[in-house]
Amino acid sequence: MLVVAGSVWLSLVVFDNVARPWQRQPKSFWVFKGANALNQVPGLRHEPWPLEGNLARKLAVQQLRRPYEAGEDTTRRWLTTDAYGYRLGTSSAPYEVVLCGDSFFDNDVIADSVARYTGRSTGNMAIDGRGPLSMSRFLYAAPPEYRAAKIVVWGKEEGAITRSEFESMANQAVELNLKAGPKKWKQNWEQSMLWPSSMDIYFTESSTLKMLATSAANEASWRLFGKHTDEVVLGKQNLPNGELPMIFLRDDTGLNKAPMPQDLIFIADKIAAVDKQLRQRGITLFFTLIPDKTTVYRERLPDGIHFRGVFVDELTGLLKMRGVRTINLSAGIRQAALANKTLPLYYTTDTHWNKAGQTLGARIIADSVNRR
Amino acid sequence: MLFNSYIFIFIFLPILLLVYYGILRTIKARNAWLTVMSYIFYGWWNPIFCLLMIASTSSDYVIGKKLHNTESESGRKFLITITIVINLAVLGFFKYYNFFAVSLNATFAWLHMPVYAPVIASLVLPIGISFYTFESLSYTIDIYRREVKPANNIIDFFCFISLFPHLIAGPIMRYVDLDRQLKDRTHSTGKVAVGVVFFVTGLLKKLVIADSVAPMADALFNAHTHATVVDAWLGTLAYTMQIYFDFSAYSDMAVGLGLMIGFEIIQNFNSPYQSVSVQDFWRRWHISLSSWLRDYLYLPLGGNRKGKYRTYINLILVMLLGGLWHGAAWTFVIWGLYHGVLQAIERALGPRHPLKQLPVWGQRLATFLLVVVGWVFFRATDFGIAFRILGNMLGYTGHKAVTPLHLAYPSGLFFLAFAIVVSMTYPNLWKQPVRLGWRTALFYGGGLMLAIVLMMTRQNSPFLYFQF
Repeated sequence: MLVVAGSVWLSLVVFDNVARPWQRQPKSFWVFKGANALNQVPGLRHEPWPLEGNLARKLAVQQLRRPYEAGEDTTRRWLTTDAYGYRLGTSSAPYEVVLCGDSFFDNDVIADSVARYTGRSTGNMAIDGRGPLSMSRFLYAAPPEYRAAKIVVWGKEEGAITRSEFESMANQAVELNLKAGPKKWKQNWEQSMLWPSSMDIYFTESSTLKMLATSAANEASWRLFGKHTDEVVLGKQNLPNGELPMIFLRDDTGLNKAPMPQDLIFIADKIAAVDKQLRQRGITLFFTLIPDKTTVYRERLPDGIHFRGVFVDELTGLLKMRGVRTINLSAGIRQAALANKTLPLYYTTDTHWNKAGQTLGARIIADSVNRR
Repeated sequence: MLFNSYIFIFIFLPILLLVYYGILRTIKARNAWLTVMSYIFYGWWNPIFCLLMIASTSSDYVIGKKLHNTESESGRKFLITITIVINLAVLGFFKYYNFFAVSLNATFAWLHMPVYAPVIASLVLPIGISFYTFESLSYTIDIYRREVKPANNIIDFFCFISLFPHLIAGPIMRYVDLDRQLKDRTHSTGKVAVGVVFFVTGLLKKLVIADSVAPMADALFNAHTHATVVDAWLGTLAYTMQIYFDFSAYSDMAVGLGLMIGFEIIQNFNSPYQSVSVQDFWRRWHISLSSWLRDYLYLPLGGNRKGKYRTYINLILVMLLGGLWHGAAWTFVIWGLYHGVLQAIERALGPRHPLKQLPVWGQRLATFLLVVVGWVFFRATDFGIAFRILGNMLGYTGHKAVTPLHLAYPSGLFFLAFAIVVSMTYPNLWKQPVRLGWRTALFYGGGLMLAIVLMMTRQNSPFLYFQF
């Protein structure tokens, strides 16, 4: 009994820990959550960044991924971060323009493209998955290189416009303004890797066994029952005229419910409050809603999955009433996608825009900034 | 920390057992090691909570010593009163303050009186406080009754209170049960092997059965519209199975882990859905709690020694408080009251009770249905939801809209049917002889593999009784 069960258990423990160094690690080992969250490890240089689409990872069924991966943009790119863990581009500090946002701005192309098209030095304070935090850190804890900025472009993915995201900014303001002392030490500990729940998440999510077991379970579910994850929607295949098929996230705004009107008002008020704070410092804010993949490629959704529409016009209207400058990325990107259907602007197996999409987005942003 | 988590199975338990068996040789050292690891286990949610447990444990240890050494009756009464007040005040504050404040505020608002009790929004219930408070109380009360001597040393007492297998969700152990084992307990490969059997069984009950039927229960109780009759019954039965398999799984794992470190922990469930009456149900469900309530509440109130009407009142009061122990909500109180009244009626009618006129299978079925109705109140977050679901179970929706919840999906139904059949007809693990041979080894080795795969591929789901 003990030999069998103990051997099973011991071999799994040893295997998992030995294989761990070869597995994907979560970003920012040392600070993990809360207002201390960094985007990446500081001072990271020249790590090659191969794309593995987040939708492909969720799908985890090789047979289903293959048709979509055929057209994937897999150019290896270098990843470099500055001393603060922010993405380092070609611009030199101090930065005149700063980008704040989530994973749509956290890439290697957008800041450099904005810098090229505006002719202004551009820094990138985007934090993957934490758009409001990125702005909070600019407001209360911007590194010296970023403080001289006169223009801030705050970009938020359409699907991540939720009330709770903006509600969290109040707590972030408190956390970032905490003075040194016992409360600050307690907060630092709670937000660090050494906090038990952080360690728990880290060990679990970076477990080799978890990744292998999840892949195996998904493959088995597909082969035995014809089922794959509900999180992902497989787009239409065999499209005409060289158009590439796409995979979509079921949680995208176009497939899910849009924020309630009262939530949009709350969100607009929060953005307007940030705008007011920045104006008092002589900084101009541009807010932009970055379209989800379903907004841009709704025609490539499968039959039976209905696109529900977007709220960008409502939010833009509310922001304009409050005097906040906005940049309409949705219209420009959608127009470009329809005009040239064979050039994808988003990765086929990922939710994010690819190099072409980033470059186009940067051009639209730069046009608005230059017209200021 | 959860038993069904990566960090427990792959890091905490291996380190605990390696040091326990590989390095430490004396009972004292092993008790000390268990105490340290138990505090790490408990503090994993929030290390700050350890301070409260340390304070509570220390005060009861000191008072226990003084109680044993004090001869005068008035002094002993004073000390026991102090410890009861301290323990219940701490439990009452963390668990019930906001509940009573909100209820009082609602009452005063209804009476149009300008009285307001402040609600502490940031008040967090320390996990396991209901369990370790009751264990501490049983220790000091047993010393007061001269049924047990105080712990030899503070480490043994800390080990008793904090012992990680039973710390978060029971069984509620008495010091008298663990006293001898803290001083001297046997360790053998057979014991550890049986422990593995219990642990893996608990894991599978939780991960395979309880977590499979949970979505059906959640879909019903979280919906805001009326449900069809079928959905109402499916969802309620799903919760009935979920709470049993979830809670008994935890107890099985606690027993298994205890055996792995030489402790023999008491049985907490004895096939409760095979009960022939509500009184029988409470002799089989959460046995450690019902026996605690009997010995420390029901008997001191007089039990059945003060006439029949006083007996009924005592039964109802004890069950009502037992309901309140489960949580700070009126639905729990009503659930407790419901069971109290049912037990009082059984007591009053005796052999003339309608249940007793049925054959055994009929008694089991009727008791099961009575228990199922009670679970509706237990699970619902307010009375509106509870009465709506009960109405739906009877086919009543008034003129309101009905939403089919699509609960009849194949795998959920399969596990629900399996759970009902097993819980109502099959003997539990305590009644089955465990033959430690190759077949058992392969079965449980395979079960362990399956449990680990399931654990890896799902989000961590805490045990239901953690919230109590």
